[in-house]
Amino acid sequence: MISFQDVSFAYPGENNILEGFSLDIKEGEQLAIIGANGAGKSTILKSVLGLLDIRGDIYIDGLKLEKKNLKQIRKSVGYVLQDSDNQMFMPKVIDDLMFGLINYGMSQNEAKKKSEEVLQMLGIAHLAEKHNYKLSTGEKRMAAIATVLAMEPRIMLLDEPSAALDPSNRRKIINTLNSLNITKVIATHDLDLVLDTCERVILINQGRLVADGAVKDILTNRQLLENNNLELPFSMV
Amino acid sequence: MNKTEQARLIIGRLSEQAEGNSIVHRISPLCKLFITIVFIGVTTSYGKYDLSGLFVMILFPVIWYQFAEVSFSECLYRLRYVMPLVVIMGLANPFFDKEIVLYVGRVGISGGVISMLVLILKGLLCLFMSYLLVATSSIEEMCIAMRRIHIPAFFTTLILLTFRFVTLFLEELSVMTEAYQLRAPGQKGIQFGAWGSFLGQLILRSVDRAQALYESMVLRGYSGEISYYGYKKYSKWSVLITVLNLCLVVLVRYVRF
Ligand SMILES: Nc1ncnc2c1ncn2[C@@H]1O[C@H](COP(=O)(O)OP(=O)(O)OP(=O)(O)O)[C@@H](O)[C@H]1O
Ligand SMILES: [Mg+2]
Repeated sequence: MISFQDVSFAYPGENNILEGFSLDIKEGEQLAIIGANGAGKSTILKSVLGLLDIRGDIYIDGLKLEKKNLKQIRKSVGYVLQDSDNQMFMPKVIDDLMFGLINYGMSQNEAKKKSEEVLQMLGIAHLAEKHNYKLSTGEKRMAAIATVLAMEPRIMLLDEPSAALDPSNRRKIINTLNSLNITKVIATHDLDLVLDTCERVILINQGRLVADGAVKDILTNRQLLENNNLELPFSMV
Repeated sequence: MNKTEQARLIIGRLSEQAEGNSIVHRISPLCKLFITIVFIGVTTSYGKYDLSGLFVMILFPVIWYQFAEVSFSECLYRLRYVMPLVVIMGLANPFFDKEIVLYVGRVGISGGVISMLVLILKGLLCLFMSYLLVATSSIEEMCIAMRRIHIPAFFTTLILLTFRFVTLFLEELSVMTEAYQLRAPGQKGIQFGAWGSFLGQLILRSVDRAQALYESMVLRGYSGEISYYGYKKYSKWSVLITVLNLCLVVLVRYVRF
């Protein structure tokens, strides 16, 4: 479904942030990307959307990541940004949800109905008419996830989906993610979330793939985690 | 609350005000844009000494503000920095044009004074009507309306992004001043020595965020056409009001009683 082939990336004039990164993600797979701060998790997600000027190739759903395929690729890939402030740009929450739907050809009424359903599903229907700039950090995060869910992507990339969420909202997100039968890639420090949602996990250190395997193997490997500045998840201690 | 925080809230309030539910808010934005453009066109077309004719045009803002339920005193307050500029524009006239054209009692009034008043009044009238447009339609609606009359997507995107950028800029500014002040208790404002790095940071952060926001828009299919469900389509009576307004403007401007 997503295939990285020897991908490298550097910001202009700086050292490589990704180096010779190769990875295959299968359709329907739930993959977690873990690694210390600055390891390159967000960079990997961004590269899939064609937001970075990478070397190497990325294929999404058989389509090569290049300019002429961008529109189609971006339509099928939903991306929840690490910083929700950068995700919401319309006046009100409901406008933001409808924005993408209308852009991809839905009528206003359909889009509105769909948006309300998604908000309902996440239990945040009361935020629909709220102004984005007045939301709390966690509310903004829930709304940002809703904007992406509404698009019904075939692939979902989530960058720290559980950051800033209270336990009940965190649980809601986990349940929602588990109920979706699509390919998901989650970059996170929340290893318990990984245990609850993913089967496969990759460990990144300084832009290189260090480990790739089943969640139950990697998240129990204290030595490996500690060597890469991580700790065993709470529920494993 | 610091000054920048206030400024940010004002922008927030302006876009909230645009969601009011008065008759004027419900007129289609394209019609409002048209009404405003016509008003500005006609107002500026008055002759340079035609003060008495121009006076009648005051009628329009007065009526429109009533219907829009927009507070005129708030408008004056918000425009307090712009209005002096309009006044300054006219100030030179009395020096160039000293010929007396009118006597009020014994006092002769020169053409320059009249044309100054005309210029100032024109400027203010246009300003008030433009403010009304902004206060009763959101920036998204305005951009859509402009697209409808075939203003290139490049410009409307630019306007939209500028508006968002100003908001972002103010947001970053208020976050950064707060962070600064927390670590510099008792200081008033920002120390001169720190200005350079502060400003540099501010610009970088705002540009980064603007970039990220634009990317989010593109990722959700933005291609220059703004989709906004709040956009009000033409209704029959929007058109009716527009035509009515047009007739009234023409009547006031070209028919002498
Ligand atoms: N705009 C930028 N310009 C230059 N370097 C950058 C930029 N953005 C990120 N980096 C660098 O790229 C590296 C990887 O960043 P990335 O955001 O991918 O890390 P991450 O694994 O997502 O970290 P975190 O867990 O903190 O979110 C970091 O060392 C960071 O300093
Ligand atoms: Mg990150």
